[in-house]
Amino acid sequence: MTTEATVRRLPPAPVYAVLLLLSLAVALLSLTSGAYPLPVRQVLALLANSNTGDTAAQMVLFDIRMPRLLLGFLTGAVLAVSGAILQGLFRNPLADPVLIGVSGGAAMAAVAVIVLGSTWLSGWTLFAGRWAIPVAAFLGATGTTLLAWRIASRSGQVSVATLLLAGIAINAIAAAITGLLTFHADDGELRSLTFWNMGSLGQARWDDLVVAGPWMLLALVLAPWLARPLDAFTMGEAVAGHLGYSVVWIKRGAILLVALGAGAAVAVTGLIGFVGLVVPHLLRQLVGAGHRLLLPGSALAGGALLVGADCIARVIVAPAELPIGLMMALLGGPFFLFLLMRMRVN
Amino acid sequence: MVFDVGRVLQIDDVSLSLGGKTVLSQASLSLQQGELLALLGPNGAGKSSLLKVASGDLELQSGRVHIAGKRLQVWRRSELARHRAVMPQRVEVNFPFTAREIVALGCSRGSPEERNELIEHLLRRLEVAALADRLISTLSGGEQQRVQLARVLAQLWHSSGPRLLLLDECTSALDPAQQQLVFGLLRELASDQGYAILAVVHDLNLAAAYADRLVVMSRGQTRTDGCPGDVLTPAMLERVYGLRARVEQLPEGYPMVVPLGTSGVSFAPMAAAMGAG
Repeated sequence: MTTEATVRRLPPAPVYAVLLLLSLAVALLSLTSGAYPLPVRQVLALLANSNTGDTAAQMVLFDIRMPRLLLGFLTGAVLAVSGAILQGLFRNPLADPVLIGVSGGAAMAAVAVIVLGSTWLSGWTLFAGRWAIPVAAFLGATGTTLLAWRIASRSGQVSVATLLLAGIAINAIAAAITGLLTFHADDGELRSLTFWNMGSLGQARWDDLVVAGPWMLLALVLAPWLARPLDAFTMGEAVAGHLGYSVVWIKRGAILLVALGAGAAVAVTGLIGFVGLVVPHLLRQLVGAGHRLLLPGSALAGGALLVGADCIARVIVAPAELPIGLMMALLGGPFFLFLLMRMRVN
Repeated sequence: MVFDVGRVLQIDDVSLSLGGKTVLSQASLSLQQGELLALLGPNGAGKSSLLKVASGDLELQSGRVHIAGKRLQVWRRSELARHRAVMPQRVEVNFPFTAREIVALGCSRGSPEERNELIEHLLRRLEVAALADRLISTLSGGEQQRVQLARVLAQLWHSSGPRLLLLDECTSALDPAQQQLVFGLLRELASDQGYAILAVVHDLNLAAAYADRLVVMSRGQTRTDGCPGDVLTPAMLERVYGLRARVEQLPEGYPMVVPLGTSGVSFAPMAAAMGAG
């Protein structure tokens, strides 16, 4: 008997405890890091009692860093959970929200508003005001995903393989349209759309949270309902059906949750990659593939990772800031390669 | 229609065509409580398709399928899962689950202690207990097959009421001793626990030794139905499989098929070898 082949799972309680502590630590780090000096002691004092008289510190903490922290955490959590859900659904550890058109659709819509906002889409920009880009991105994300879904549906049955292919095709079309718009853009618009594509938490305000937060929270709160069915799904749709799960409803629920949650996240932060891919992949090595641990674990780890990356993005080129999407790609790309190479060695 | 309470599976006149090709034509079958039925037939005869119609994987185009007296389409999926478990020909797992975790996916009820006890019990019965904490992807085909079978058995273990197992070549990757192990266990479940078991089998002698009844399929039809001694005749084997064979009645009470070659080709392996020498 080969003992090295046996797998030891980490018990859930310590894993949660570590992830929670990590989340709290990066949260505190996020509240203290930035151009305005706010040491830990002052942050804690302000959190305990907001009326310390230091209005500048109070404003930085509660109006700038707090919403940024919460939006960053929620976004990271939703992207990681969406990745985990789609990987289970597609039975493919490389799936993420990009595949079903979420990012492509969001980017296309956002770029359209940026480039055409003063001409063809001026009615929309006047009507939606500050929300013109995020709401368009949300509609773009959910719209393309549902379109892929419709294409993959035939008489009530949805072929997961067709959904994947439809997602790829729709992404290509969205990318082409985005390219056409980019071609048409002037210098200022080019700059805006480039930054949107790199993702940012720099503009995060409380009203972003109020608008996008509920969708993301909804996705996070409902995701655990999918845990057991997704476990069964990893053995195939037929087996999930044999085990008593309603395959059609699980597919619908999963796609809808991801479209709403990841769509809302992308809408207010722009494109942030790698969280949905790296976090579930890494956690599976630690806690196993069971989704009852994987989904909540991914939420905590994804949130902590994004907030942590945001801390680095804020200070690494101070007083300027690196876009968070760029930061994630810089960290996530090499890390993912490292994982792949280590897997090949084993 | 009035149903015998003991009739767990009833398939009547099921026809099915896939992509314009007739796969099943008026296939019928019934299975009693406590009965182990082996479904035989050459490749492409429609055995797996019939099983998939019975499990609901393939939509019913014409004919009727009743499970425990209730039409298949009327059953709630979650309720059906407590009375009917299915073992497909192949199950691929793309994620790092251990053998134990795979079996756990079949246990949906009971306290954590009860579930663990059941998982341990089944892993031991199928002789894969030593592999419990290994990743399923690192196991051999035969080991994976027994782990999947443990998961399928776990699904019905603590159920009350009718229990139906649909098994598609559940011993195809197993060595002869393990085939005996698995069919011994299935025989016991049918005789002692009242399971109704429909097993697609290729090994004629395994079917003859363990099944109460054999149904032979050919070109989408269920043709011969009866006890092993009546069904396994040289004439049937020649007609359905194109197999020339001798059938011997063993003192154990069931027949044994000794293949002699395919029809049209004179083929007696030992004799040919000796003649050449």
